[in-house]
Amino acid sequence: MKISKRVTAAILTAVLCAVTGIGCSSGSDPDKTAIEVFVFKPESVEIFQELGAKFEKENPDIKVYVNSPGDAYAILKARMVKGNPPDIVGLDATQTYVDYAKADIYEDMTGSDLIKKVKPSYVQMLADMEGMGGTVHAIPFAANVTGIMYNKEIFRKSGLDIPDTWPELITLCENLQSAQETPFYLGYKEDWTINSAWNPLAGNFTSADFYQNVTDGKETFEEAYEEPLNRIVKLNDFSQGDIFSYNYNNATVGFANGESAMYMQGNWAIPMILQTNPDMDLGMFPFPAMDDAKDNRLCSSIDLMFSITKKSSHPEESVRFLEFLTSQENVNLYMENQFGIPAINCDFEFPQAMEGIVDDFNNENIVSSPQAYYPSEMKVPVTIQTYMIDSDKDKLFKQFNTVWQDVHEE
Amino acid sequence: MKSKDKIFMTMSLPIIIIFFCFHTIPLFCGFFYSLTNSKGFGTYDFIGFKNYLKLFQNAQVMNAYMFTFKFAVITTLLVNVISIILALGLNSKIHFKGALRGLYFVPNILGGLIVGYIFNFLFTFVIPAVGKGLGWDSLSTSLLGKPETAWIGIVVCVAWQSIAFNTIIYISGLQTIPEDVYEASAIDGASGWNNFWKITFPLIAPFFTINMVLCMRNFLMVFDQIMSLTSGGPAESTTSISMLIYKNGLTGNQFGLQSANSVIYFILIVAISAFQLKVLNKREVQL
Repeated sequence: MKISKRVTAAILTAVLCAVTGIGCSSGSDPDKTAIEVFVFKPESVEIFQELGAKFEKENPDIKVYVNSPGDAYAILKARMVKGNPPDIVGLDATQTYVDYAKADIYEDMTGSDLIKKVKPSYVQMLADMEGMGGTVHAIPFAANVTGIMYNKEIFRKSGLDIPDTWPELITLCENLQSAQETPFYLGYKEDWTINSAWNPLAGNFTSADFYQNVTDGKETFEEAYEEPLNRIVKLNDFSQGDIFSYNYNNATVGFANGESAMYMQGNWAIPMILQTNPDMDLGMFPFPAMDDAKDNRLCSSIDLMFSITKKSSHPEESVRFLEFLTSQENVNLYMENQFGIPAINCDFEFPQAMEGIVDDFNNENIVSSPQAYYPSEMKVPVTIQTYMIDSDKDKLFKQFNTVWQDVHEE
Repeated sequence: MKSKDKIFMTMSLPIIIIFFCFHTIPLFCGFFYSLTNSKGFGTYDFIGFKNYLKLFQNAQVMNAYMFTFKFAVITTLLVNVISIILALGLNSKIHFKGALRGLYFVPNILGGLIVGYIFNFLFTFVIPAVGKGLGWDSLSTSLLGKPETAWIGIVVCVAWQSIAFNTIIYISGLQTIPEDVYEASAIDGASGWNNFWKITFPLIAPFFTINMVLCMRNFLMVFDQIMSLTSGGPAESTTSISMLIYKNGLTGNQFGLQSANSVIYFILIVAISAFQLKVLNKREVQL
């Protein structure tokens, strides 16, 4: 056992070195107040650093640290567990945010000067989501839209029109297939991408008080989700095939390179598509989930909203930073860079690629994305991915119902 | 003797303190949280051993245990068999022995995530392209895209990387065997196969023991490669226990439940390692 002891000793030494070697120092300026801005979108780190530098120039007494790690939810959770949250937290509209809001981690923003700058429909959306008697704990900053992006060139070549209803979408896909084109590039290896098809489908087939009704036992997932499930599975027939082998990056790049005519995603994918293929003639239309065009609504959600944590030692400086961010000029700087849609009231011109959704957006013909209402334990995309593989509807509904009851009992 | 004890104490005390702070205390914290319904933040209540009961009724947890054990056993066997064969080859009289040994060690230097991403690319694009070119249906779609075959991809990737380190241990083991035992067996007329089973293998048994224990323990805790290959999918078929604890504990709001899971998991790994050491130690012989 002599050698093995030596091996063990070597391993132990290596571990010790690794442990003691970890340690970093950050330079700090004693005259300045430092605030940390945590943003869950790694793709936006550059624009936030730019905005941070601009803010520092205008406010020489404050230093802004932008933190935007990969796997932001897990890292943020670790910070919360340690009791050392950032000053400003930027998240999207999910139940993770609601959990933190309910755990009394954020400052109440209801009725503040900042929230008055936000479009009323998004304040309402947030209040519905939190479900705590109309209070809100964040400033919605950017909105997103989930729909279908399409390659205008392929549509022109095959003489095809944008579909307004579900039957039209199916006919369109069949026509594309007979013209030897792949209708959709699906990157379902990363299960979250299933949301891009599921959110518009499930959102359009349910009303706003559906979730409360499920809790009260007045409606069931089984009834409401029967049709959306059939439809989402139907779409797999129009894919490139082997859909669980390709991830978000593969699908986005594939669509950008013309390997498919359409791509179900949100507007956040536009920068990457145009980066891959700057010459692409890109368009976007609302997901035609319903049989009647009148019933169809555009699926939208809050893409980025900012909260100030109660444990922040610089709440005033944090408010100042948010006031700076929500000014007309800076909102437009961000939206232009990220192909975002402002949730803030301001003059804004939609980029050309999003023309197809402007009407619905301006008429507020919008349905909130159901993703915002699912507790994170429910793991909807993974469950649907599993259903696509094993076609076991009972198992899916059992999972949904058990988690829903567990979470809403407490 | 007294002063010698003091020297040993001063040498080991800092390490004991560090180990206690960064290892033992978190372990107790984990056990504490396993008795609560904590989400990881905010308020929580004590719920006794309810989490432990819930664990055994949770299909997802059971699936993760099934997958992890299947994976660990198969990979451990595969890695050890291939490592012994490689070590025998690299220890024999061949040209470029030093260079080859260095080359075979390279996978161990690379990080698990990097290796995972490279294999991901191979499985998703290169192998299906080759499969289509040859007209083989079974290879023309990605292994990682189907729940029935995704685990094979992970076994291949993890084994490729772990074989490097285990081979080195076996080579060092082979070098401890003196030449004269082989001379003696040659005089008795023993052939290659007999040599291996009757002399080589019993004499490297200590190394076999340490390799089996290290492998089993490492593979039960597999994480990096799965993260980069499949992130636990498709349909959660490749979610290992550590993956589940990380995913559901940190982002799925099951901090308390998954703390209970990690306590059970810890006990299991200790038990398995102890069992392996006990059983395999008996097989070892000393010259």
